Amino acid sequence: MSRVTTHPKVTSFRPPETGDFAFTEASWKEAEFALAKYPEDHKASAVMPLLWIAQRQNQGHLTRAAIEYVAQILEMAPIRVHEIATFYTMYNLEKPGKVQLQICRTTPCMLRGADDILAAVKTKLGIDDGEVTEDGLFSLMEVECLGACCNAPMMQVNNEAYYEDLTPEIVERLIDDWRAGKTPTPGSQQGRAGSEPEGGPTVLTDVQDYGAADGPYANGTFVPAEVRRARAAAAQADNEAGTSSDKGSS
Amino acid sequence: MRNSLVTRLYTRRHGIHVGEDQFGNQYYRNPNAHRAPGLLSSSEKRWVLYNGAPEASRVPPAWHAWLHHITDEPPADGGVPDRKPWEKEHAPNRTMTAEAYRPPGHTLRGGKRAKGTGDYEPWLPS
Amino acid sequence: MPTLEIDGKEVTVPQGVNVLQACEIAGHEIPRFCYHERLSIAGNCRMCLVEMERSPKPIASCHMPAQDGMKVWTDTEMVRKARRGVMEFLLINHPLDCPICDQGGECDLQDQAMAYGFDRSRYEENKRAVPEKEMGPLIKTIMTRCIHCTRCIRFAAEVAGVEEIGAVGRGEHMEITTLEQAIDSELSGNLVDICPVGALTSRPYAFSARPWELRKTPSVDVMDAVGSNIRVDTRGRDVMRVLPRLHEDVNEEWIDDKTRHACDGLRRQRLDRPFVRNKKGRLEEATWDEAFTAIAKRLKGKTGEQVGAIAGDQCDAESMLALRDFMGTLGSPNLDCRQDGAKIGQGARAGYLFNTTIAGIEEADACLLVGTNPRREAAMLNARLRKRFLKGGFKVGVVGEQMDLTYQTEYLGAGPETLQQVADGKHPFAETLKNAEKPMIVLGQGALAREDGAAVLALGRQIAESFGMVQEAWNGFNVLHTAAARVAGLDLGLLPGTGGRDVEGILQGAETGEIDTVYLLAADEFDTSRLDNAFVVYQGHHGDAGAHAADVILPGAAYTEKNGTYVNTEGRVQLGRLAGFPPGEARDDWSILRALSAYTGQALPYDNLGQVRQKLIETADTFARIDQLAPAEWEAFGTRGKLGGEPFRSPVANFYMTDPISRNSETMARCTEAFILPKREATGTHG
Repeated sequence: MSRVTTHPKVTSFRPPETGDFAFTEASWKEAEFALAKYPEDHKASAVMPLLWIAQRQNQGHLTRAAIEYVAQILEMAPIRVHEIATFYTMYNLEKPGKVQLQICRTTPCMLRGADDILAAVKTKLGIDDGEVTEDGLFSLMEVECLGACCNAPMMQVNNEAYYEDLTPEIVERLIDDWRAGKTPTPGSQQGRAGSEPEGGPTVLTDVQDYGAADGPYANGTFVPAEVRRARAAAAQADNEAGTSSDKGSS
Repeated sequence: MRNSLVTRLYTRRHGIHVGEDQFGNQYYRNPNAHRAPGLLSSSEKRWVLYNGAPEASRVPPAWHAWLHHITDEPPADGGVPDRKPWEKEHAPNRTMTAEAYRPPGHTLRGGKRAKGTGDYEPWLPS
Repeated sequence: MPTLEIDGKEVTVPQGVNVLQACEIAGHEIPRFCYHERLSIAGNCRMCLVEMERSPKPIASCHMPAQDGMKVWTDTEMVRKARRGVMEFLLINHPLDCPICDQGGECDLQDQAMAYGFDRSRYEENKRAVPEKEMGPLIKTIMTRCIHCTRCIRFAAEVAGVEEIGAVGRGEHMEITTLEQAIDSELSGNLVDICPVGALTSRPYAFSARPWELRKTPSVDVMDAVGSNIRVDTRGRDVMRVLPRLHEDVNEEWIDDKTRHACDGLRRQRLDRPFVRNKKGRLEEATWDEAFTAIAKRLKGKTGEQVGAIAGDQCDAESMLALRDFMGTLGSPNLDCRQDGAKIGQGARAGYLFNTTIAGIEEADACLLVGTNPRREAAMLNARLRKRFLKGGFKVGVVGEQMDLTYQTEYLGAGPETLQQVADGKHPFAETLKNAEKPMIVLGQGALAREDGAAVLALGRQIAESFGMVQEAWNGFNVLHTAAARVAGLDLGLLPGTGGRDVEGILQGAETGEIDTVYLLAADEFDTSRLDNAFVVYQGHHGDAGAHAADVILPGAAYTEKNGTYVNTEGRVQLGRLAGFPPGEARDDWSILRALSAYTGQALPYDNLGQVRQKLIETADTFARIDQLAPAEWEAFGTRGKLGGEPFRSPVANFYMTDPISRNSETMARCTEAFILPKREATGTHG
């Protein structure tokens, strides 16, 4: 293992059984980036990024060989890496579907109807929590709070895209889209920009009336760039949806 | 020791004879016995007159069930089904008698013990 | 020195202890499962909760450093309620199988449930069930009983130094596992001791006895030269198990697997009656009288030069003294206790002792291991080296075989030439030794039991002197023995007298016929076929190599069957005690020699153990100091000579089988099969 350095030996353990798993060149690039963050004799700190890289390379799940391969790179005892890989829920030990639906069911989402969303997905796909559809396209997972409570209920797809403001109908439509090979636009599914209130801002609209002090918001016209972009995107999506539905009806 | 005089008098006055088992024990009941309400057997009093010494283990299981209000009917009337062919004949407790069980190695069974776990395997020249 | 108040009483404790230890110092026992004095603190069982002033919640005392001015209560209603709650949670998933559990009677959970357990269960859901795990031939697992204290994980990673056991999953789904591999550690038996419940139990001992029916005898181990303190548990005369006994300076509270599990070898292949070879050449059962008469008849008219004696590796000092005195009555100088032919013993006592002492290793800051594999030869000593290594600032150099000692070592070379380079200061490691304040050197039997052993010993002495290893109050020169009897034998002078032959000489003499009679005192560790021409008397406890070559067999006692004195590699005199009587007609070894001496004409001058021990002290006054170490004088030893070119090899190839007892042990055979044979096949070497 010439690409990584060694650290002092403090225990003895059996050599890892890596099977035929090995990092691709692209994975190595990411792995080296992760390894560079830590001192040489503390390179075990890079275990979580490396597992993540291995999981991505291996179609979203970790095999025993992949886990032990990471152990070999980091010169850790294989059992230590197994402990980490089995502890964290975002490391999948079984192959997930191409579209991993991760539905939040923590209190705010639950109050806004996460249970209905979950039930709708379960009946639509015919799978239970932690299972994969027979065609290998979908897998379902209940997760805890993902920090998008203002847009509850929500779900995360493939660990990155947030789909918010869901209703059972919307979720079914989304699933149909994925089935048809499309990728629906992430974000609020009910036309909200970010986590703004529906229909635009409702507070701090009358700053001038109170003779507000100076500052970018003083005259009520300044809108931060992020918000501007989000509004534009939402408007465009609305337009497209409107035109397409018009076409469909005519 | 026989059944006491009081028991025999009570049996003559109130006892309704129910049946007899293979050992000759006689079973009686008194449906009108006044017992405290709420007791398990408040409805009826059931008892046995032993044929011989009073020894509770002489009551066979089927009659034991009736006697203890486990079944409503005595064995003959369908209380407890008949003995299966593979079941052994009931035998009273034999402790303190000549037929009592004695474990292997007991002094009265010759006192020959099986080898204990403390034994070792000696080396023998080949 | 913080002063704190515990249950209203002021107590001053050393800096750095935690509240739990402070409570112990104050005399309050705190219940605990995960906390262990010799392991890192986990704080996950929550059983050690105590109440502390200004803390709204009870605190985990094992995890809280004792501070000045703390006020702690260990027995308030809040504490009791908290502990009862913890206990109820622990018992939620613990099965109610105490009647069939091997830990029953010595179970921490059982004991503490007596104090804090709720008398019925409020839990109506299904209990958790966990599949059993494979952990090798020594450890049996019933993982449903596990309460996740993680002591086993910490012991394996910290003390044993093998990271092969861990916890996978999280929360209720957490499981302790080795990924179905046997734990390849020579200290794995200790996992059973530290497990507070019956999740890890001893596989060889499974379902064989209950702790309350065993008689406990404190004794000393003879499987290696460390002299671990053990407790022998017997039922009748049968040794059921061996457990460690606390001795901070020797084995702390651990013992290695051979010490612990070789005891089932005491049941097999025992010599329990005398045998004499008849005219047809077959061994025949005999009475003691016939056996002694046969020996006396053979010895009649022989000169001392025609008789030789070799003492074995597990003999007690008493029997070796008797052998020496017996040979003295025959006028024979052919006497040796160094079966492996190590060139030690001539010269000062410091030349064959582990002078640093085992506890002294913790003060050293550099170590040179020469021709030894402490992990196989003295596992407890290796654990001490590892403990020192983990403290940091400890460099270990190795001359000899390449090996994995569980900690980092610097491999210097294979043979004497590397050692010479170090001595001459030409090797980079010499710099490390020079800069160290308390350096030490360990010479193993692999470096001494060879042709040039005396020269290696002299070279070791030269290194010790030139690198400042011998200072006032520090002696870094060490010889690591593999035989429990060796130091006692050398102390008693079981060495060739003037003009006498050593082991090799006796064997050669036996081949040529110059030696007529050889007396083997439990000596099996050499090629006994070379004794074919001689009349061999074998006195010992197992039918091993020596017995097969013998013409007269005298059944002796094994180490659990006699009151014996042993001297470990440090020169520490310790007493082993009789735990069960020897089998059949076997007798105490010294008394056999005493009885035999009466037949050969000159009876030895002692009739009971007290008199033998008196004679021991007269012979070597170190025997008067039981369990006390006195530094040995630094005087002359070793002879300079030509060094050979052969690489050093550790004398112990198979840790699990080194002596007649462990060779006859079924458990050790299973360990050999599980741990030693696969490695040989994999590497193709005899390591």
